[in-house]
Amino acid sequence: VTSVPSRTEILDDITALLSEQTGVTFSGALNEETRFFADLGLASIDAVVLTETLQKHYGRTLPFHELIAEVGRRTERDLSIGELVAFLTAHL
Amino acid sequence: MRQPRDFWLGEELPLAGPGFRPISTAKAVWLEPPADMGRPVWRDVLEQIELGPPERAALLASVSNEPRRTHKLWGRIAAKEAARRLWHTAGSPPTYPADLAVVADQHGRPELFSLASPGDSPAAAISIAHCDGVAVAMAALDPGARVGIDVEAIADRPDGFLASAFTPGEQVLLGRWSGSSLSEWIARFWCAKEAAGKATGLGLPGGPGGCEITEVDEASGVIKVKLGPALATALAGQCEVSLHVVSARRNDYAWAWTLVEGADS
Repeated sequence: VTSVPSRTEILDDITALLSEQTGVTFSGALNEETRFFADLGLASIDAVVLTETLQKHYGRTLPFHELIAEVGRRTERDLSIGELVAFLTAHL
Repeated sequence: MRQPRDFWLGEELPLAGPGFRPISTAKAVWLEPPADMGRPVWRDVLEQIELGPPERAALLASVSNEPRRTHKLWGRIAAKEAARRLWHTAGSPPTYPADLAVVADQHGRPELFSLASPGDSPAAAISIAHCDGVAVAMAALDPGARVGIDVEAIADRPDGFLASAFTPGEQVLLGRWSGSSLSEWIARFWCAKEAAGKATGLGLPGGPGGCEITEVDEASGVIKVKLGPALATALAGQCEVSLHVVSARRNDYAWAWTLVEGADS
């Protein structure tokens, strides 16, 4: 039986995967308020890479199109790490 | 920078391609400053010169990441320069960059306003893009025109990227390339879709699946992008549901642009 990772574990996973993707060490610098575009400087193509990396890491297809569509309806098209953690918590 | 008639920071990009008549009403600018110009002190000097106080305050409030702050600044510089080059060619008096302001509308589309006539409609239609080390922008004299431009580094992408970024049909089109050529055309395809989305004024709010590449001509770089229903609605009456986007390679980057002229053009 595979246990569902906790929010803290998911946050640690995101931190590690982002560090690997960008080559920047984020340890301790990221929290759930951190925004992917405004604070981390990611571009839209980076977001696609991250979704693919997360699916590979967790070994399953995740409905990221739902999350992307929700973000696309916002005036400020940005996503906090906490929102991504909540999405992953709901779908893992 | 203090002699706006005589000096430009960027380079003008050629806007030409099959399906487009000779374009005199739009210009694009490539801005790739030395790395030092992207770091504090020089970057901050540029901000002071190129942005008026309200625009600078709005930029600083919207972004905390230093490289992103730099790239957003460069994008604004490029957009203002594209418009100023148009006005310069038309014989208009010189315009200082800080007398212009880039403001996002409710969908995030950038609009260019002249501070000399506050409250008026936009002074030109613009589109802005940036990636690591480069900013590009496009401007059209007609504020009612729709312009879209994008730039992306040509790089290897991880396994699975194609499936996440492109539709099955697009992956078939990309199947004709391999190795470094594939990396280049992945970047061109990405830019084409982003440019098409920007031309609608909505971007790609639902992700890269909001539009689909249906044809590509390798020799000319022209890519036909079919808009999804949400994006096509935004351009109702102004064009068909497909846009012709011109893509090209410049050094280690791909870039793409499109133009939908306004109803009065």
